[in-house]
Amino acid sequence: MPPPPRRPNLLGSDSDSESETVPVRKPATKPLKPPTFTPAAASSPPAPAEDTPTAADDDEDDDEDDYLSMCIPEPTVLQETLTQRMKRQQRESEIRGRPKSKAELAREAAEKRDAALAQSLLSAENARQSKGLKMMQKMGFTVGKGLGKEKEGEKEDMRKLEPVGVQLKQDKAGIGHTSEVKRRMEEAAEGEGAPKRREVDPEEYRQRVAEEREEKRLQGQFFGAQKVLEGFEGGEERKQTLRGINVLWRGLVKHREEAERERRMRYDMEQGLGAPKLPGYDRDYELDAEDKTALGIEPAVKVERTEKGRTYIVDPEEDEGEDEELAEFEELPWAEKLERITGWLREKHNYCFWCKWKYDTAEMDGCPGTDEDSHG
Amino acid sequence: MASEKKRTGSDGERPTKRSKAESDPAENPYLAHMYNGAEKTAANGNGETILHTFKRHDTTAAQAEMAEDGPSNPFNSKPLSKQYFGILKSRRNLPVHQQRQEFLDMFHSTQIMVFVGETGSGKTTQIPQFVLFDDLPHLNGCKMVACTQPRRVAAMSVAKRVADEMDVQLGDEVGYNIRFENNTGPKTILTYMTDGMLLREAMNDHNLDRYSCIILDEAHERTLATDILMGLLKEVAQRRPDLKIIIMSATLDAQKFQHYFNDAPLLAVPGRTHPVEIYYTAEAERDYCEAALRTVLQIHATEAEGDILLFLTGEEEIEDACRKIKLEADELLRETDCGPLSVYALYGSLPPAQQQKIFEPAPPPRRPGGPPGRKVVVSTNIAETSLTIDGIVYVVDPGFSKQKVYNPRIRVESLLVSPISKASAQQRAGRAGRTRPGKCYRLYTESAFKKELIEQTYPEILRSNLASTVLELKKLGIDDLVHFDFMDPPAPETMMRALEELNYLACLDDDGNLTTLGKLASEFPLDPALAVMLISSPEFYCSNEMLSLTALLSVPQVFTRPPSARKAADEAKAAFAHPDGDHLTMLNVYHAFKSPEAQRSPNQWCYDNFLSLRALQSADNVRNQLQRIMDRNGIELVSTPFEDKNYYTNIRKALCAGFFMQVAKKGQSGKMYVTVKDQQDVFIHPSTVLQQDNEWLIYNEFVLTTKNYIRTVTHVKPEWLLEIAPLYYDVTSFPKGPVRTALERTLEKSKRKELIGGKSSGSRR
Repeated sequence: MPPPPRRPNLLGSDSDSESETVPVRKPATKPLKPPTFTPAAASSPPAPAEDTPTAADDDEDDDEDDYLSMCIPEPTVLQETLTQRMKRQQRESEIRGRPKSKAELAREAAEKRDAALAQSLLSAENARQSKGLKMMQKMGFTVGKGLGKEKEGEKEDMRKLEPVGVQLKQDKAGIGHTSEVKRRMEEAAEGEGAPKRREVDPEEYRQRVAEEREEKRLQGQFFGAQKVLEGFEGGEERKQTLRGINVLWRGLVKHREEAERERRMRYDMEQGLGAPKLPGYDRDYELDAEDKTALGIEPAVKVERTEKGRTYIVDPEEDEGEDEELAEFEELPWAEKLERITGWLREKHNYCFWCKWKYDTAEMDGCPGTDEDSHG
Repeated sequence: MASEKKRTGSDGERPTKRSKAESDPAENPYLAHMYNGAEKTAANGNGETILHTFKRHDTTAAQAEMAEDGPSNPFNSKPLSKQYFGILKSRRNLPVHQQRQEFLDMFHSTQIMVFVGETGSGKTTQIPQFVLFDDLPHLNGCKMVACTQPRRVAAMSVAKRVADEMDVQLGDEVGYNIRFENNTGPKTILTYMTDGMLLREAMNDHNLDRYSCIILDEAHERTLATDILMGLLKEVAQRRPDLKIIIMSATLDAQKFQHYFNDAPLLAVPGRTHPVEIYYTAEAERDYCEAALRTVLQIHATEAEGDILLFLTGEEEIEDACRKIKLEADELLRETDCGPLSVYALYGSLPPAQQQKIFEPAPPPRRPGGPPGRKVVVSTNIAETSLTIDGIVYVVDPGFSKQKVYNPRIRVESLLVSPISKASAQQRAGRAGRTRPGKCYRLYTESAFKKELIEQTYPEILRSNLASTVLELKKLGIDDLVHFDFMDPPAPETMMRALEELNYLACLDDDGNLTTLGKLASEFPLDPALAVMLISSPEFYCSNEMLSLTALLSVPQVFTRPPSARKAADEAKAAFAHPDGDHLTMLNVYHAFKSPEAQRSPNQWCYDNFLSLRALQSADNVRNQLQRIMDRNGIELVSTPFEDKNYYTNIRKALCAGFFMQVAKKGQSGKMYVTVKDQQDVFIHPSTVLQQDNEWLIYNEFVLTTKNYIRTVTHVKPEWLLEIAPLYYDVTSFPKGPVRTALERTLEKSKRKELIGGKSSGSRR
């Protein structure tokens, strides 16, 4: 790389300001390729050697050395005491936690910032040290009051006590969009209404947790059995009404349908929040159905799902009435339901849910028994 | 009737004068500038104008109109031009003119009045002239009328317009005075000035004795300087009963002004506006930029003739929208029978020539009788109040603008995209009704307008760092800042920070009194930190360089980075880069700009190097002005020889002298830094030239965009900070943590050094 041209101007410093004693470098008309070493950089006086290792730089190096030595297990540490081990583990986990992603760093920075923004300088512990506050107090300021001329009959809250807030807008959402989304979500969640918790004594709680766990286990097994049964009985049929399905696994299909409907509804709702849709200046009357589709005002025609093996377009009309048979079955405790479905599997399909095996004969030779326990 | 007589008298005089002119070169209009003084005495002697017959503060609109009708100029006795009468005709059609007598009656009856006139009423140009004809400042101890404007450009352009209207040379009877540019002369009787300039004048002339009438225009904008001026004028009015004050506002929030000025009387003039239909969206928009785009195109495709004004927040957003609208419009043009669409951007940092483009008329239809062509202006909130574009019929308002926000708790000052206020939304809508009934499309729901928008935009005083303001108030002789009659008092914490910062800068002593340094710093129209840096720069043997740097930091960004050539621009910038930081890089740019080679063709040179000629030229101008202030105050201009190894080191140390409160130390991990006192995690702005990690950085700004950023940074040493600002770097005042530990180590190290080699001198020079 050629030495960059430079012509330090050595004229006296008392010349006029336009041509003062500043060094004048010929500018690079077209930038030189390696940007790391540019004319300006090269022409700067080399940083004085004494400057390079600052105290702070040294700190940094020391720290890194520490971590290194910690990462390599020392051969002498064959029998470490409990405390030693705990300390080592703690340190190691700290090191593991060290490299943070950019997003994490930014989030932490934002959290720190918001915490600091929420903290009044007047209530901070070092406020008493502030000379600024002392000066203001000399002028007659009292913490908790605003500035400005006191006027008769004017309420204190007319005056500004807090600095104007800092709100960082990260997206392009229009005015009112954020609160609108929040409101809709709340509305959607309202129907589900989670049961309220109440205080219970520890013994009861422990027992309930154990019961719940058992219920969960049974429930899982029941769903598993339902799926097996679906495999046997669902088979080829693509289209079926809900009532035509064996009550033992009708619930499975019904729930799946409902979940799907809900998902679609949610999707439509989100799309409905001003997605590809003209701001509605009420020009509906000008648009025909095709326009609407093109402009995205009406959601496009629903597409039938054609997922293999699992396609059940259930006639929604039929859903209207109460499905008493299913309701009755669902009422049963999980253990009972599980018993029934495994029984059905054995009886009709020569399948033992516990062996996970379909036997060739109805005798089911080799199966240890009808319940889970006999299968160890 | 006396006036009648006088008029004929002056008419009668003119022939004799003219005959005299043949022999007297003083009467030759082309030589008039040489005989200014002589002419003035002549006017006072035998050349009295009609104005001499007027009784001050007891004139009528009819009298003034008669004087305006000529034939000679009542202010300089020169014959009035044809152009003058042309303008006079249109002036008489302005809404304010209808109420001239009403205005005069109120003006006579009170010391302070509030005047409300919507944009387009002509108040900015006409009211000061109405005052001139009644107040007659030149016949009353050579006083002046001042009219303040929040913006420099407005002060200049309005002064030019009024000089034309009065048929005088700009800079003679009518002039302007803005920061770094004073265009007034000994004959000046009407000055348009920025509110900041009037405030600076008040610092040396607490009673504003030069003025007989002060008009605060655009008071509704509530700039920092206007707010301080109002507080000040309220006090001056008591000391000077002869001073007349007019507060002019464009919005109907005038009761607040009336109330503040002890129930001053109000005169309102209707603007020339047409009704504007307002439309809201049915639902909130997910992406306001996209919605804006669609709305503009929809208007173009379906609405009748008329131009569109779209408000967006900043340069990047505006350029992006312009590009997209152009693309879409071209497609629309190909596919349908639409008129042509021309798109213009408008924002502050746009060169004036390009700003002018928005006034070009809309394109003609493609074929005679075809659908009309249309113009779209995509603008920041410049177009909300300050700039009027004729022909706008449709306004699209997404409801956001960039607003400056300062928070004393973490000392961040940033332009943030924020929702506008209801008042602002009304103002925007009003822009659609300038030429004929218009439509305003708000990209939010009516309930969002009611619930989510605040009533009024927060005045600037609530959103600014008050360090300069406090210094100004102190210089204005106001000691009790706590009970100063602010129209909207700032938060106590903001005031506390400002006082604290000025104390650390040694501009205020512990009792809150101005120090010598503080008085000196207040002479500079600069931020106190910059002023202190400049004043102390001779101690570091680099005042020449710091002067250039101060100028560079006071102007818009010198580096340009067009979206189409980002890489080339970055490479060009790298050619100037200094490894120790952005400040030094800017200095390199300025020095290169002043080289004879660059000066041979500055335009081309700046273009080739991706620099803003406008910014560099104004830096040059600012530098000259600041140098004059330095000369006046006996601050030496010195430089370290360039070959000296400490050339750049001295500059970096001098930076510390002003910006020691804006320092960040490298954090535990990654590229992150921590501000030393407030302990905020910050990142270096990607625009930096710094390549390697440096332990300590001084920064010019702490801004919030997508993250916490520090911008314009330079590498410094902790030793310097401890030495230059021992009070601020009192180690015991720091919370326990890495910053404190590092400072303690530095302190120990330098103590050890001192012990070992006590004889070794400092590193300066």
